[in-house]
Amino acid sequence: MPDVSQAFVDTEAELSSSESSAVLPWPDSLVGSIAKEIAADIVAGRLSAGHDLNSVDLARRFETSRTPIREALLLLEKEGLVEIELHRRPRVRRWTWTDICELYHVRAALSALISELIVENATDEQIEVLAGLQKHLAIANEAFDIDTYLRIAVSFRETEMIVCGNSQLALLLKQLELRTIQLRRYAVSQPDGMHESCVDCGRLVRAYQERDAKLAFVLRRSFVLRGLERIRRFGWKEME
Amino acid sequence: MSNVSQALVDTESEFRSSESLPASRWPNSLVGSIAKEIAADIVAGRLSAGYDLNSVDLARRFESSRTPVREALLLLEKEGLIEIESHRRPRVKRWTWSEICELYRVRSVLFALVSESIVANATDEQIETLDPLYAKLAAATEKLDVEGFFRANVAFREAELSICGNTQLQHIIDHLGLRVLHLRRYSVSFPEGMVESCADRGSLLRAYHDRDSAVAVELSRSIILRGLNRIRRLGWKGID
Repeated sequence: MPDVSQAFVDTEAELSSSESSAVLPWPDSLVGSIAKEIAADIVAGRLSAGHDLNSVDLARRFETSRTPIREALLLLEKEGLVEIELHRRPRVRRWTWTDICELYHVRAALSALISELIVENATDEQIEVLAGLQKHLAIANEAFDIDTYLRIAVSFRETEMIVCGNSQLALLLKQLELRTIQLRRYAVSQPDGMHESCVDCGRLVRAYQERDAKLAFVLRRSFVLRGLERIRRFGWKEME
Repeated sequence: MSNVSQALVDTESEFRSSESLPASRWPNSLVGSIAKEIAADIVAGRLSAGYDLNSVDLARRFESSRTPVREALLLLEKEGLIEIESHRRPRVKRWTWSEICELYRVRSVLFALVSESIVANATDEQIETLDPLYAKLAAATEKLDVEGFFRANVAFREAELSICGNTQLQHIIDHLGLRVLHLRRYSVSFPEGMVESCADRGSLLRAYHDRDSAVAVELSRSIILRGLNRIRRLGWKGID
């Protein structure tokens, strides 16, 4: 991972531990709960990219045998959080620049659909809720308060996912975003990142209010891709 | 599923049950292999929507304890193939019409992205590999050969995915495609569906050759949504 300051990591951890448990439906079973805990560590940045996941150590930590650990790691691999190669210890997934570009393009397309659906399906009241959140984003931006900004940004997105009215889409996008959560934080924390994101969000809300589905679609798409561009411009290094 | 004749279901199972479930989808473990077999039964229609999955019976069938069966069922729930509610037996997922609409809407933007990526990234040679696949599609349409058509249709789609150059996108589409495989089959299983779908593919292929991104994107999107419309017209009722 690039240089993300500890403050951001902590905020994100706070936000994302609930986010991850909502998205990763591994309930009730021993394997599920082990997978969940490891996932939370990865998403929060406590386990960084490339970190070896030693099943003996993990078995000790979770006070279990190695079989459930192995199953849990397989689940995490499916989720794209862990990589398992032959004759190697499993480790926290390292993203290449190509992977990131691919994921961002998918995210851009799905996010654009969320925005289009909001114009189609959301009630005026729901759009006003988004407008209200956007005002809070602007206030946090004025105050250069990035922690608050990120927290409100998460609420904004969660609200969008609910009011778009397509739960299949929301679930899929949440799963994807879990994989890119550290990068999104990085994108916003770059110089001007928060300001740009805030301006973009204001424009988007206006498109919602004007019920302009096509505009909302292309705006949202371009915002996501601009986030990718920002990561590239500020020197993201491949984790290889 | 209401109106799909058993003949169609059988044919589908013959050639799709193995390909549609790439080995990588399931962990290479006892749990993974149990999940894979149950999934194949569901996709092939041997276990129909709403069917109870009794873990005692399944444990007997797979000669294992109930724990791996339970884990396998959790995996299948994540894939959207079964539903698990508390105080109820797990059962094969029953799709409502609105869920199907949601999924198709998501598929429409993902395939639009596939087409956009093909125009942007594929080489002329790669695009030419679609020509013989289209020829097969056209030949099957001519003969009103439902079976040949579906096979050619799936092959065309898979070729598009492989030349679009975005492996993340490919995985996501595979994952969603599994859930609606039955319906995809259903939507082209009548002459009018075949003729319409074949004509669409022809236009799409021309747009690839012309490198016309806007047309390719809109066609790809409309092909998916038209498939959904056909399903509705042909009288699929869902469960609600």
